[in-house]
Amino acid sequence: MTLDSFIPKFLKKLDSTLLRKYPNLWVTNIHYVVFYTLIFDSILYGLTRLKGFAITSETSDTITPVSLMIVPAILIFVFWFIKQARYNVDKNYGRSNIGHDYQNFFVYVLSIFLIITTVFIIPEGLSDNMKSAIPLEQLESDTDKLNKGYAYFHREVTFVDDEIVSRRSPVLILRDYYYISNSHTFKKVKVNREIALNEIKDFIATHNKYTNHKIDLTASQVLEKAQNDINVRLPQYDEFGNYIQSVDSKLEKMHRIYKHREGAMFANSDFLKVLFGIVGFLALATWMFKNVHWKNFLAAAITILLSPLVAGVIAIILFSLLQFRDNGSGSIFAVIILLNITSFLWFIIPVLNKKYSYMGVINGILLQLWLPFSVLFYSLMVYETSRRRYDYYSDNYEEFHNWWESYFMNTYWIGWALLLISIPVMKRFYKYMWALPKSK
Amino acid sequence: MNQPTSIWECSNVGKSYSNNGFALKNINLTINAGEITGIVGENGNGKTTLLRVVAGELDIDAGQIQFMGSAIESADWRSFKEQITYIPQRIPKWYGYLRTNLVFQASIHGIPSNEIDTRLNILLDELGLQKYADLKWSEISTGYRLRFQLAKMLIGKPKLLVLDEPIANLDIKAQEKFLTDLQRIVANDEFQTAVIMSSQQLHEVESFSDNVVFIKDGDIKYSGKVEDVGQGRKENTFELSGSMTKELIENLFKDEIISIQVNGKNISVTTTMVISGEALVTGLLKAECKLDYFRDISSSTKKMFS
Repeated sequence: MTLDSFIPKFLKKLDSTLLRKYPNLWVTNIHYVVFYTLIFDSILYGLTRLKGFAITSETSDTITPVSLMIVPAILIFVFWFIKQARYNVDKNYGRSNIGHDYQNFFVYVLSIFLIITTVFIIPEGLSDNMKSAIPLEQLESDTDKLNKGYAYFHREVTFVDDEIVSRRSPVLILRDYYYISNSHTFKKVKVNREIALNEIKDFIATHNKYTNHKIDLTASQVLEKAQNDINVRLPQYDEFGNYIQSVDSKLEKMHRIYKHREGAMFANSDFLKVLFGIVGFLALATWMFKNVHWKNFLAAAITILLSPLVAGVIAIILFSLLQFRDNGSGSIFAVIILLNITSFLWFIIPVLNKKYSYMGVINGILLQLWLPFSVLFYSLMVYETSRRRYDYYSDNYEEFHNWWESYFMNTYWIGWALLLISIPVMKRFYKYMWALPKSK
Repeated sequence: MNQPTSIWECSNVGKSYSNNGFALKNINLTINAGEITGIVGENGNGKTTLLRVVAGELDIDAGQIQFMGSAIESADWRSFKEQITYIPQRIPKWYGYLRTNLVFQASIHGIPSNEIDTRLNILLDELGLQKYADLKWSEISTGYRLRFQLAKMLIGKPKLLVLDEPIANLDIKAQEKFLTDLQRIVANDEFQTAVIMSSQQLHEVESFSDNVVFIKDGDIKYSGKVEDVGQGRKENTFELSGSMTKELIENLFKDEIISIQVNGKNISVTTTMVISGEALVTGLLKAECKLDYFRDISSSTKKMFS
């Protein structure tokens, strides 16, 4: 039995059609990637949903499934990447145009994204489990109950005649910040004994709903201890046996549950921006891999891995040995610019000489990979320099933060634009170099 | 008779390697459509270097190259290479099914999807590859690999096929089959292809080629029609083996013998033009010698190897 036996008939038919009619698309293996990642994702998602979510014993841990799935996802990516070397239209002097290059670049983006989904599909299933396990209204109501009762367990109450004054957070800020000790959110609330007892009762019931480490005190016992200024002994260990303030632990769990209601990762726009930045970079690397000799690509990859070292050595020579004035991040940027200029010269001279150059191709790859990132680097330098002028706690900081967000987004899109522009420009170069006779 | 169309030609081409000092010197060569040109020479004398220059794989230091009558400028290399096929000594491995690779080749060269299978089947039938097309690279012999590579290259209808030692690893039968296929391809008007190939198998090359090039120390010592090799010579050379001895041959042909060399079981005899191959064989048989092997190399490039 061969691997072919596991390919369904419709997929074989699709493969045959793509091979005969759209060879430029066929070489990307997109049909296999879409089919198998969706199957794989569906199985993982289905199993996660079947497992369900027990609010008493589980936390909304996403680190473990992500860590577990990273290794198989990397293996799938490497397998897919190597498969890309097998068939090549341009290297076989077949028919292609720049439209095919853009098509393939975006197909690589889709393929890599789909491979990456295998890492995040379990957390996504967990999120959906939580979403269906606790309705939003219930979650908000439970949070409110924990907030109200919190003070009685933490010696935050004073007794004045028949009235009880508790220093409490009126609302747990679920959306952004779960931690209750932020002094801004506290205010003093007066209640009578009956209300206080109800609040404690609600607190105990809610607390016990979210853990196996139950509070076995009655509301009256808790209030009595609070009145005598005695610490109420709550179960002080979380589900994993770690020492933790029990209430905080529940609130943290609820905060996580709340956050997961929005979807694990894929609903987070910041996460998606970073993700697509990485996906774009990997898709560009794949596109280059298809357009140059693998030896050039390998050499460029090694150079990139060594480039921080090279930049460091150059920085030492410039700023330590030659005593150039070091102005921090600006100096680092100057070194990066210097490296890019060197790469550009190495790349352009063989083009002008109309001679094949092994190093020319490598530097072409470096330039193409670096150019979008240079903009990002530049913007990070700007951030570092500008940030020093703002006090973190001042009102201006928010203004700075907003400015930085919009500045960074511009940089992000400029990086993408440069990446996309580089495809037709560098395509001509790689094609030209591929056909030129070699010196040995 | 029509003048042959020149596909590729070069004049005064030179290429040197700085690391080992080897150099191709002042190469002048013309490759014509519908002809097979064989390159012969000892190992390390520049056959592969010359073929790589022809295929546009190797840059030259001096001289000029023309393809289809036009000088190749740097910008033209891609369109030039689209019309040239180079099969190196070690053929790169194919992945997946052989038929898939051939369909891919047809597809990227713009053959309409509804014609691909028909055209491929004709080609596969012609080359006797049909029953192997659904196998993988690892499941076929070296001879079939070469023929599949040839089939793949022919799909693009190249103007020039450059083959480096194509028959080196083939048995006698496979060599003959391959060379016969080549002859048929160059004779086919549909392809209008020229072939240049290197080989150590002199007899086979000379039997199937129209032209032969002998190269020694990076220099072309002979380039011309196979039938013109040895014309104007002043001596005949024969190779033979059997029960005869050097002394017996000297006694039989006396003053007509120029030299006799014994190499193991083989004897190489150089005579004046008076002694023909027939005369030598008849003389030996009359002397009741057992003749195991005989070859007249008077008109072969093999003579040039000494």
